[in-house]
Amino acid sequence: MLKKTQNNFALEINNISHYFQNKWILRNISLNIKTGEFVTIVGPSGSGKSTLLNLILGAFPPSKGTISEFGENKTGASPHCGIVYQKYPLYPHLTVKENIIFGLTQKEQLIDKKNQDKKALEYLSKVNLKEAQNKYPFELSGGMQQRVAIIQTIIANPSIILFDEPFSALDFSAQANLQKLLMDLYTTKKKTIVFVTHNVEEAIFLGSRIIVLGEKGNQQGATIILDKKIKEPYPRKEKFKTSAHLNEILEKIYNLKF
Amino acid sequence: MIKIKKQKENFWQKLNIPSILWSMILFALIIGLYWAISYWRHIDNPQDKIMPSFTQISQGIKFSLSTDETGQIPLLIDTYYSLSRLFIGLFFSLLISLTLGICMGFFKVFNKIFNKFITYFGKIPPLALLPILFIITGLGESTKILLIIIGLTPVLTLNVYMKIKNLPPEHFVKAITLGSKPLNTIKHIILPQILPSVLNSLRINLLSAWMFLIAAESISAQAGLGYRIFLVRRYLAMDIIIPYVLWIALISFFLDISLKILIKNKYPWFNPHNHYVKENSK
Repeated sequence: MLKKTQNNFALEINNISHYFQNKWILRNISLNIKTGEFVTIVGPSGSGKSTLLNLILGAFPPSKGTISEFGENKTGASPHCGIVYQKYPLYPHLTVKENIIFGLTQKEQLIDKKNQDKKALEYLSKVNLKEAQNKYPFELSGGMQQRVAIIQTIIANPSIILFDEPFSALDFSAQANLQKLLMDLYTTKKKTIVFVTHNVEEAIFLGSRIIVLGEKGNQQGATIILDKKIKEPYPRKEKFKTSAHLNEILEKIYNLKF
Repeated sequence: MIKIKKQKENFWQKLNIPSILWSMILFALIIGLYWAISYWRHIDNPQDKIMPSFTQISQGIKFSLSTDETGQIPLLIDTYYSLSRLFIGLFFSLLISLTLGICMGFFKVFNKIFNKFITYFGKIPPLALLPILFIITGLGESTKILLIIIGLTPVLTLNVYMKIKNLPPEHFVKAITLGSKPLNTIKHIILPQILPSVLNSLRINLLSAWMFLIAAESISAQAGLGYRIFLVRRYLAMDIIIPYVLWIALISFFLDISLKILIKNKYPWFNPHNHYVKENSK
């Protein structure tokens, strides 16, 4: 059972630094993420975005500092925190439906076979992939794989969902479709989301808060150089992408000195 | 406009003979060559036993398929014994390799203890161990099976270990985030992903398994295909040896094809050429 923290933080990142292959990747990062926040993390290539996400996930521990998940010190990956990867988003030996059912059945929360199928198909219908239920991942396009991966993660009902550049290898229209899907899911499910991307526009469009990582001065290792709330109500419309508000934030980020 | 010059096809490209037809042609050539040499030898010596004629071979087959003084059909009883030993040996090799390989892939301490040992143990030619095995375990069935296990287990174990190491770490982390317990992850994620590749490796190593079996049977057995070949060798009974060798080749071929079909049908996502998964087709 998850604790409700006094300050309502889903994640508390306390002054973490990470050292890897003889250099500092991240330096002195402190960040508190509230329950239900949609945080997007951007930064140039090699700025440690994915490293930070993996530390939050618990894939490996930080060299310094601590990360707390709902008030408890994080010691490894846990079912409270789901992940959608860009690479290897699905299990290649399972069909679409089996991939989803695997996410559904592992927490012993449910259910007989008939209901598993029913629930998996219900979610697949939401992303228009009911017809692909018996296909293997290698038979799907990149966009379809990502849609299944999102469903697989969401159906397991984690409190926090992490996204590691999930749409970066997709074409423009697939990206737009998945952004819409993600927006709908966030609006209806209100999960805490941490979304890493190198696409700044996407980060502003999706996030309720944007974090920019980069190296400050001569210091080795990236740190937070911008932490900004984006005051645009959800669900966001496509026209927000061309709005003055978005462009203003965009300009601010592009003017930052990395 | 640039004209693309059509490349001229050479004679072999024009001929375009499929690979299977080439194999059949080569086999037919070997049979033809055998027949010709055997024919010439029989003109000199009609009783020649070194290269029996097709009639002599067919009599050898008839003899192998007729009941002997104990009321048993030699070819069938030999096949039964050899295949039983082979399958038991393969089963235990696979079982030990999967258990040990998974433990090595999952737990660093297992890897530390076994990795180097298995690598070096695998360098010992199993046939060199045969006399030692006969001395230690006696002349019974266990020695023949043990030789197959000793011969195959190191190769298969390292194969299982390498396959696990080559799985994307994302798969393990994701399984934890989906709430999967370690045993469930092994059962539902790791084992099914490595199994086709391990079966493929087993298929490739079938020939070695046959070699170990025939070597062990040739030294000590009461029945078995290897036993029979080495028994009748004393009487230069090539009319029996040749059908037996062809029969072993046929069984080997059948096992190879069966495993190929099993892998293809049961694991349609598996691509044996890159030993992992099929690439995204779109």
